[in-house]
Amino acid sequence: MINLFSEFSHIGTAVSMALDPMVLLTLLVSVILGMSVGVIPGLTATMTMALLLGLTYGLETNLAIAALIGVYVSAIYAGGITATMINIPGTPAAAATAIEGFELAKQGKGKQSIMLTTISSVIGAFIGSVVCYILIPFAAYFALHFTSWHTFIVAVIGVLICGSLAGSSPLKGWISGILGIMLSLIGVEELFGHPRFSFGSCNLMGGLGMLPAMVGLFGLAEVLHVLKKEKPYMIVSVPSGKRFNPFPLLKKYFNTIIRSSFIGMGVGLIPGIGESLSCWVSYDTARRRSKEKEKFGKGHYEGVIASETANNATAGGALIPMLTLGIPGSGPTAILMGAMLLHGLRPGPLLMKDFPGEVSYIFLLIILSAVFMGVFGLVALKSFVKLLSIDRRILLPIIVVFCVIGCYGSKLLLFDVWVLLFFGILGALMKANDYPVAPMVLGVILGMLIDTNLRFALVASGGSVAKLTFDPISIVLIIAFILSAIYTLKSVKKTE
Amino acid sequence: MDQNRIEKTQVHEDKKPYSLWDFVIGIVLGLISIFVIINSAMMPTFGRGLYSSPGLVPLIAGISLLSLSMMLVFKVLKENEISLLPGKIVLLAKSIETHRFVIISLATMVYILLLDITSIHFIILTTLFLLVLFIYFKVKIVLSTILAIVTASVIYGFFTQVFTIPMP
Repeated sequence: MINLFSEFSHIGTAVSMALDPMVLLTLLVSVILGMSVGVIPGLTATMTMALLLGLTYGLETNLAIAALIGVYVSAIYAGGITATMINIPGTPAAAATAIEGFELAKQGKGKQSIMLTTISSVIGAFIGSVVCYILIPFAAYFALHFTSWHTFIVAVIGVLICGSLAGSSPLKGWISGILGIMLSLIGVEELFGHPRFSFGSCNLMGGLGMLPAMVGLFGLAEVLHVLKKEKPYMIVSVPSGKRFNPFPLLKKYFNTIIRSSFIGMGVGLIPGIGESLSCWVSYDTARRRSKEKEKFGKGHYEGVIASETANNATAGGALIPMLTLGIPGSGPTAILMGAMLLHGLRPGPLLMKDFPGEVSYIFLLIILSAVFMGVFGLVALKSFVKLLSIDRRILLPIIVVFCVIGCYGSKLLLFDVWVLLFFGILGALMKANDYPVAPMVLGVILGMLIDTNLRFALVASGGSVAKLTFDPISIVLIIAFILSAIYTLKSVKKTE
Repeated sequence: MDQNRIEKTQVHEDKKPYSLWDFVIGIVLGLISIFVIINSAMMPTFGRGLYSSPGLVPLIAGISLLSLSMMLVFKVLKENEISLLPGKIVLLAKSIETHRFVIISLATMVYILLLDITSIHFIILTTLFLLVLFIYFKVKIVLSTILAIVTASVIYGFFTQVFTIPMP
């Protein structure tokens, strides 16, 4: 049995490694690079890290890890900037930010919203890293005992969120979500390799892909929806007369910040889910628990804070299963694990014994990245707002090109660009008929998780649901599911 | 379709949470669900029960979508007059927004198609695509030309040099 507590005694070594000038310089450059690509729709943190992997091969191990962590943390944050200013999340992790952030930008409060996005992201990354670092021994135990059945229940709880993301018509939200699940099931399934709804097409056998779906539904659909109007909206900054002070708001929503950080960490701990879901769970929880429920959907700072704190806190949680068990919790951590293996570090229970201080070093890098990201984000705030406030007739056609290249660049397949067009037109038609696109994106994310984990668990138990249900984690999750379902049905009754 | 009927359709639509289009959407989704249910039920079980079949989740999703689309159709029928649907189609066909939507979608489709099937250089194709859209949106011609050329070249340079992605 490896003593996971022993890592804490090597924190001094980790600090001296992290404060090396070359490490700090690498981190700064990678944070700027991550922010630059994070604002481009279609370029995700995973894709950027994958592209950067080859470039880091020639670097020293510590520098290579610093470069990848810098990109990981900052790209997730930067996705919230475009989500706010043009209603197109730069990365899937920022999708929930668009709901409140864009409404705020339309009210002339884009700068304020991005400032809160920046500060919330820094706080989320900080809390996520510190708490996860302290909880490594316990979190590793939790991650090790989290089975396919548990992941399935979490994903089903996620489906419940679809209805509440639809505002006045939960029915339309669920239709959108279930359609998203169905679309995600196209292609060869993971358990037996059986092709579903692919009609003999090799391209369809590979599935429709989450990235083209997300970029199409949020990016291209928004472009088509806005540009079809003769006079597209303009983002105008409204001078409030005095300097915006975010601290009273942060104090007011302190509970939301803490809760969102823990949601982010918790979701991050579940292997295979990651920050794409944590922002939704956190946003929905904040909306349900808020004292100002009526303000949600109309541009509410609390929604932005909840989503951005959670997606950045996920980084810390997602690193735990990867570092302690060798199981990556999300796409970016899988790339990071690949980089570590390339440099001779084997993530897993022996990492802390063979390379003392390495785990502490990685958590310190997240905190330092968050600091750089916060400073650079606040310095460049005005430029971001100015750049993304230019005339929509000029900005949005350029966004189309970025969407096309972003989708093509992920697998170098033009089929993905056709999928983007399909989802773009579908999303624009949905928006025109008041069907929310957010639940469909959530459905696409959850569909494969539900399918693979449910059947994997059932096959392992010989088809017995009873065998799967009676363990402590399952019981807690089932109670959470029942409570969520009761709450959702109550809100549906109230809405309709 | 007479003007009065079209106006009646417009007024009728403005008041309802579920429009007549939801009726069409409900029917289309219902048909898709039936297709999914039938296909899922025919998928193999690989020597185990239904629980291992690749059709299990599509079957559940298909049944859920069928129920939801039926609920949608009933809600529309309760609140709307179906006979007004032809008027709505005429309104949609005449709308400037529809024309603009079709033109932008077609321009994007042609751009992707040319990227896919021809060997025209990315910079030329992207410049032309941006130029066409800028001019359509009434951006000044000189500004449009400069922006289109600069944007296409910068994107090409950034992706090929920084990320070493081979462009389509």
